[in-house]
Amino acid sequence: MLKIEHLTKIYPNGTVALEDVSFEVPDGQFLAVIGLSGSGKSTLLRCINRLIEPTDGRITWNGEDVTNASQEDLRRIRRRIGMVFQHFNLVHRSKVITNVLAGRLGYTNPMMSVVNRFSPEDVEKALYRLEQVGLATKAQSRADELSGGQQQRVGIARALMQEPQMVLADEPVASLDPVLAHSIMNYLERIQEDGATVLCSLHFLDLVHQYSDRAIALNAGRVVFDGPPTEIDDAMFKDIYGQEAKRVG
Amino acid sequence: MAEPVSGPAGAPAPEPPPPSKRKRRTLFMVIAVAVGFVVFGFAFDKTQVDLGQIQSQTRQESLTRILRLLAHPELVQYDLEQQLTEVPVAVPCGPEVSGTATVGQERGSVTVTPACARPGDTMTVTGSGFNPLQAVQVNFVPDSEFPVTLSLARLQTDDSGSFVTEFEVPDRPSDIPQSIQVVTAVRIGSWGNRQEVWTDSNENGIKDIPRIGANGRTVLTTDIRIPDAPGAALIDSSFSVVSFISFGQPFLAVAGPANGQQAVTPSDASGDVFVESMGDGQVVVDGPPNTDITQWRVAVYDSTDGSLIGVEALADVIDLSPRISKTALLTWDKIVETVMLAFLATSAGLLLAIPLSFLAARNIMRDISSTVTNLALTLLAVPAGMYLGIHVSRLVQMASEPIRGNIALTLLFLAAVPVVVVAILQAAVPPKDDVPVPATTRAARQAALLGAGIVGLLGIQFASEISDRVGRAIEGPLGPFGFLGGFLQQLSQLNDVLTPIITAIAGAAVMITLASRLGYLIRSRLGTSTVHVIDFATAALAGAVWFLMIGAVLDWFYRFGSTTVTVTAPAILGAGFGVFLVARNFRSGEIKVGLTVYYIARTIFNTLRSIEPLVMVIVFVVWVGFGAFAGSLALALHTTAALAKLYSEQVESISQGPVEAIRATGATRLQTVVYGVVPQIVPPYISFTMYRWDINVRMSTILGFAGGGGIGFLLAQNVNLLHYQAASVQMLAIAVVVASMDYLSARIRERVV
Repeated sequence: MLKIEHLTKIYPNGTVALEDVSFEVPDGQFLAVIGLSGSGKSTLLRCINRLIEPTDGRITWNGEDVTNASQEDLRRIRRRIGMVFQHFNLVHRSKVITNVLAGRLGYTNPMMSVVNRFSPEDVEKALYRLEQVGLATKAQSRADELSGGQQQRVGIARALMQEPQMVLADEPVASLDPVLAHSIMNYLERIQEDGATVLCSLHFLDLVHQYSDRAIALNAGRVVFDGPPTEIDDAMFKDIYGQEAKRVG
Repeated sequence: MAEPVSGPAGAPAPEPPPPSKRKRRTLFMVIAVAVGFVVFGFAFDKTQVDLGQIQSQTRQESLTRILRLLAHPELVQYDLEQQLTEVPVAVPCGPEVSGTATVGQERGSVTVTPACARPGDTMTVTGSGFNPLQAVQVNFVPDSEFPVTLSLARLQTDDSGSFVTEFEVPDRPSDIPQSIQVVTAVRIGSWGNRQEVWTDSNENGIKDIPRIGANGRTVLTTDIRIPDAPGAALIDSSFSVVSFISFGQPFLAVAGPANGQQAVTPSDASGDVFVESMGDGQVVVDGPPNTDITQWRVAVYDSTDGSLIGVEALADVIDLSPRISKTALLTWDKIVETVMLAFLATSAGLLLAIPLSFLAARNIMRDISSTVTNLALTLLAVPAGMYLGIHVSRLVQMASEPIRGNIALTLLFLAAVPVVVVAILQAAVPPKDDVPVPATTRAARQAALLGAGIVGLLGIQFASEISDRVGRAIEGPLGPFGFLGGFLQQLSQLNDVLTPIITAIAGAAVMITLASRLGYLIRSRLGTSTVHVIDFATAALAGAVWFLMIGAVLDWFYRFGSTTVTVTAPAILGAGFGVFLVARNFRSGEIKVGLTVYYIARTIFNTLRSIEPLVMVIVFVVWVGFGAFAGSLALALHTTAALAKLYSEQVESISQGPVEAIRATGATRLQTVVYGVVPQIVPPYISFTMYRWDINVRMSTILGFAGGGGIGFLLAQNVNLLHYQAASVQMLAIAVVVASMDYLSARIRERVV
């Protein structure tokens, strides 16, 4: 169970990205986070694994206090939280297999990483994960030789390498076409079916309807909606996206 | 719906500025022009601009002369011989002499106009078809019973091999024809037809070929008086004694090139080349056929008292003309030195700049902050750790001493060290880090790593010893590759220089780890007020210690000689500064250490970068003496600063996305750098390194002007001696090397980026 209490993030330049955000996510839930660009979705997801340090509030996950964890504890927490990014965030000049293996870094002794060595089991695991996302033949290619959809699948394989209990997906399909979007969402759905919690920020409401159990809407850093996606009616929609917004699918 | 179009046409015309503003603008323009006039005038005065010089006739002639000399680099060297051309002239005119007289030779012809004149008239001598830029002597050969010549002119042929001179006919009237004699230096041979030129070094009138003959023997005929019981030393071209044989009793030389050395009987002699017999004005030398004995000498001794009788060249100098000039050979030697100097400086700078560049990268350093407690403890830990590190390296060196004396033991230990280190590493560094380990295990592992480090250090001592011994052993036998032996010996010395530094840094690192662990424990276990007390106390202490160190450095420079200035004041100031820092960050308890380091690193790099290597080399020349070593040290220092800055900018411009993704997997800072940052910066690093090498080659060509070795020294020397044709060779070499480096580096950079 992920518990977020009074989470606030104010950037050094004074921007209030999150203001008093509180909610709970039971294990195994697919939670969609929606809202306009700049409403704080990315900040929220990054606060959960402390890629961004929260200004105030508390995050607990399975009883562990994430916000006050020491560097070593944080490493242990982060390695169980997979993350998928809008721009895939692969290391372009590295091989696909290396990108996937990076998912094991949290489990690898830092001294071994200096000499660029992973255990044989990890290498085997990485090949298996690549096979799962249908990219077994691309293992030795350079990451930037892959198409967008393929790169995101590598991103998912990297997250899978962490054997995650939670996956944070930050607009994973915003840079992809609709067909690819569904294929990526299917992978996330499968991760959820394997028992992991998924927090996914999304732009398209039909994807929210189709895949999520629950939706949270942010507007200017505040939670303006929290409930099953079916409850997002036209009035609610205008609350979330503003009065001028029109539904596009 | 059509909106009214607004555009330039529809826009209202801009209002003319009010008259007062216009006046002000005009006034401003007038002042600006006046100021500009004054500034440029001042600049012209200070730089002594003198356009008259550009137009001056004599200056233009000098320029022409130098440019022509520079256009004839002395790549090829000819031996010269004198050629005499005599043109008959009549003083005064007789009936049979015509208007002009011309005499042609195989190389060049000389014409005298007119061919007859009265004393005091002017005659013109022109020559053409000679070798360019050679000396010409014009003489008048009068009718005399003695062989007398009157010098008329001394000049040089121009670059097409011609010359013209006028002279006043001397007052030597005669009925018989007299002559104008022109002595020109002409080159021997040509590339298609190279001629042998023989210099009789030992002046015996015999052509002594500087190689031992096919029969394994060479005979020197000499007019040195050879005593009844002679001794002979053979001296090679580097002035060392190859063999020293006595044909009487063994004796000790008391003078000459073999002074202080013992001559032995032929049966005891060693060496390939030796004097086989001597007498009757001949010295017979035996040796392997075709051994090069150029510039060898033989010293004849009297075996009865060891005195020197004479020294004679064993063979003559036989050259081909033309041949590659000495200047060209020397230039080649120096240009290789220059390129290698640049190469060494670049590699040393590269090695230092890579780790340093991260310290000067804002995006890496920005996020590093430390609690006040940790910072104070770390600042205390650094000097302690360095002291410990240096001490450990000394201890290790001492401990290795008894073993290093014995070569077999050293080899044995050297072989054992990697085994031990690998075993410790395997035990102490499990590949996985997935279950939390108890603190005791962790401590034991870290202790084991420390032990591995010390064993490794010991291994380096043994390796250095072996390297030194092997270096000494192979230096001679390897012949032209003997420099590899010297290199091994230098590597061994590098160990002596670098090991204390590296152990000091390692010691500091170990102590920092311990300090941060201690800081974490203090923060998490003790109450807030206790932590504050500790913060103030440690910060005051740390401040005092560091200010004392700074005070010591200043004292070393300025020799204050007063404990108030060097001890009391820094201690109080430092403690005060420490307390001030804690008080300032009292609320957050955090200090942005990373940014501080970033600014310090930036400042140092910028300062070092702004000092030209040409200036730095002055200091290094004092330290390590004239030559390429001083130059490469200066260039390495400059390169480190320059590359660190260029590199750090590359680190700053990497895309943050992958770094964020790697961090999200639970990677440590080190892992993030290795997997997220390094792959992104490899191509720009290679590219900048090549670019820097290119720059360094260019810079090293001028380092010689300040004594830093390389081709610049040669160039400066030749320019100062007004030897422009030689300087031209060096300029040509620099141009060729710089251009090819430029091309090469551009090609490689194209490839990697």
